Amino acid sequence: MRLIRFESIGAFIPEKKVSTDELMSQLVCPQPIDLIEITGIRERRMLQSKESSFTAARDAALDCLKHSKYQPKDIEVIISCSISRTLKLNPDSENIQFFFDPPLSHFIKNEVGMHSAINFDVSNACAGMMTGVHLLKHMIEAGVVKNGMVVSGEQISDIAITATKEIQHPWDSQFGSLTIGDSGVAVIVDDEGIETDKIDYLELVTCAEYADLCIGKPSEKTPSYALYTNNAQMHKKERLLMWPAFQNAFFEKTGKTFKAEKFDYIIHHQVGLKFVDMVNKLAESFFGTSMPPAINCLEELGNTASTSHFITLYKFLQKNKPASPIKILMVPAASGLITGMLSTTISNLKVSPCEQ
Amino acid sequence: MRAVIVAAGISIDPNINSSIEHAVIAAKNCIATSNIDTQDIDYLFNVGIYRDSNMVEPSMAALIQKGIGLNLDFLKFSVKTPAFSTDIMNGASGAINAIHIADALFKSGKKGYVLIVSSDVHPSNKVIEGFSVRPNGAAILLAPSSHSNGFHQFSFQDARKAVVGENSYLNFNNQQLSGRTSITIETKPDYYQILLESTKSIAKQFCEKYKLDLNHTALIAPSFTQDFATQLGETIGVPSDFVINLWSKYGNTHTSVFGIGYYEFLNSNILEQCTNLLFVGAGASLNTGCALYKL
Repeated sequence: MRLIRFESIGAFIPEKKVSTDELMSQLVCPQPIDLIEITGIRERRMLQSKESSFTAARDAALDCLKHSKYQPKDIEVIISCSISRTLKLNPDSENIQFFFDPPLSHFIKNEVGMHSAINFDVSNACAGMMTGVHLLKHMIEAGVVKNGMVVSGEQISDIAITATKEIQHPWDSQFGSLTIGDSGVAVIVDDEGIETDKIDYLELVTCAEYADLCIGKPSEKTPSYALYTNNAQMHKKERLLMWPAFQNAFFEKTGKTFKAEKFDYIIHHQVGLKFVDMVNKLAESFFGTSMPPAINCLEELGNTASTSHFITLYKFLQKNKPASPIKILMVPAASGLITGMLSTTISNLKVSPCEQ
Repeated sequence: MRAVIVAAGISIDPNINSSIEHAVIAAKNCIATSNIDTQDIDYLFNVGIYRDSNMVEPSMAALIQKGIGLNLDFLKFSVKTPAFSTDIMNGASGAINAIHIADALFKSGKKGYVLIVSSDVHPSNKVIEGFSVRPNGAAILLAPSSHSNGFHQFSFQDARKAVVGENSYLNFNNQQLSGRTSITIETKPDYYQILLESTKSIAKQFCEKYKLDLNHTALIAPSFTQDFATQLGETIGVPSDFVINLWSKYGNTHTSVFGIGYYEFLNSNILEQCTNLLFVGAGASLNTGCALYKL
């Protein structure tokens, strides 16, 4: 069996910073809630008027190619995984379009010059990037292709702006939208993995009973998308136990244990610090062992939806240069309801320098 | 291992205008004609484009999964293998991408079933004049097979510099109507003729490359217009009786062309005369996907 690895990673982090205090001050109906205290999110980035999901994805793809041995023409598959699929047909116009057809992957492929690549989009809420990597990994393992790029650009802070206009009370279903930020991220995956540089496993599951707990669709009050979440049900203990139970079932099949896996770090979906701590505590109790240190970037970038785990990894690699291979566990938590795990050992990923 | 079609189901009731409902009905019809239990499905891929209220989260696939009662909660209801669902989007030919991915899953060792569903409706859940796609849904159930029948070759190509031909989007800035009930579809006047010419060229190359015996090959191709499939068949050399042209019976079937087309093929009198089935998808600018299915 071929060993699959992350060959390269790239990102686009928008320049514009919006602090949580600034966002909360825009609430039409001010609420007695300390969002920083609840989530740990101090600021997020937002795309500006000339930017879009497409430009964020394109720029992340270009950054990814900068550190890759592959040229655009070498890429065999391009999978775009954004929830928000915005693109400006006229870059000079204020108008922005939310695309359904053609897929964003088509535009990214042509703009970046990946003309030989098979392209399609994946739409799977905040598990989009994980889903793209999962499908690509199997395509490579099957020998159908040797490499591919998985990319996502999110202009999803629109739902935060909608929330500031529409939130009426502290238990409003749009409250979670205030945690959202924009970004772009891309990874190239290929079949040249080695023991110190590989995707160990990536398993995903959708528990559809809870598929309607978080719905993203256009608002009826504001000309924009809105996200309506039943947070009380989404974050119930039984829901949060799905990940450790699913991972444990995988371990039982494969003869592994959490402790023996010796993860160096864990990356959860960047919903909030308390959420991450709560999930880790449940998992420690479930697995009977301590969790590895959590990597987060939510304080400065918020919840960047489908790019969340990989933008966190990217930011970590900007600030840290691991001297030896590190083993990371990524745990998705997405509408659908999706959980799972991605275990990867990395030793050679390069990133662009940090820009303030 | 290769993907083989186990069953197909369709949903064409003109009184139904929900994409989720069409997909769920088609999926249930498909599963009912197979010998499997719903819980035996490992992957559910939805390839539909035009959906209820222009919803973008969760995946439509997850909502369809809930509708058919697949793997609702593995902690409460034990299943052999918990299922995973996602939307895969590539215009009207997304189903060919989804079949290609399913084939790769089987080749990489996955052993369960993959259900590919599709459906398209106007986001308002009403019949809207000028919306060219007829509301419908389809489902195809795939399984791994080591026999010679099944999907053998795939090809995906697009014509360069053909970025714009038909664009479908929500335009909030100009939105007079609610974003939940409207969609803009801009089509260049000659788009379908250019798409047909591009598809003819790519499909012909595919047939020549794999030396298809076209006298025993049936063709399933888009029903964007009355003659799209027929003209494509003429150019590549498929006998006119072997072209599954869905236009007169189903109108523009969009992403459900392959599910409905396969269903029609199974119920036609050409089944016994064919050894191959050629799936040709087109759209998403000038993108063409071809797949060869050996019977």
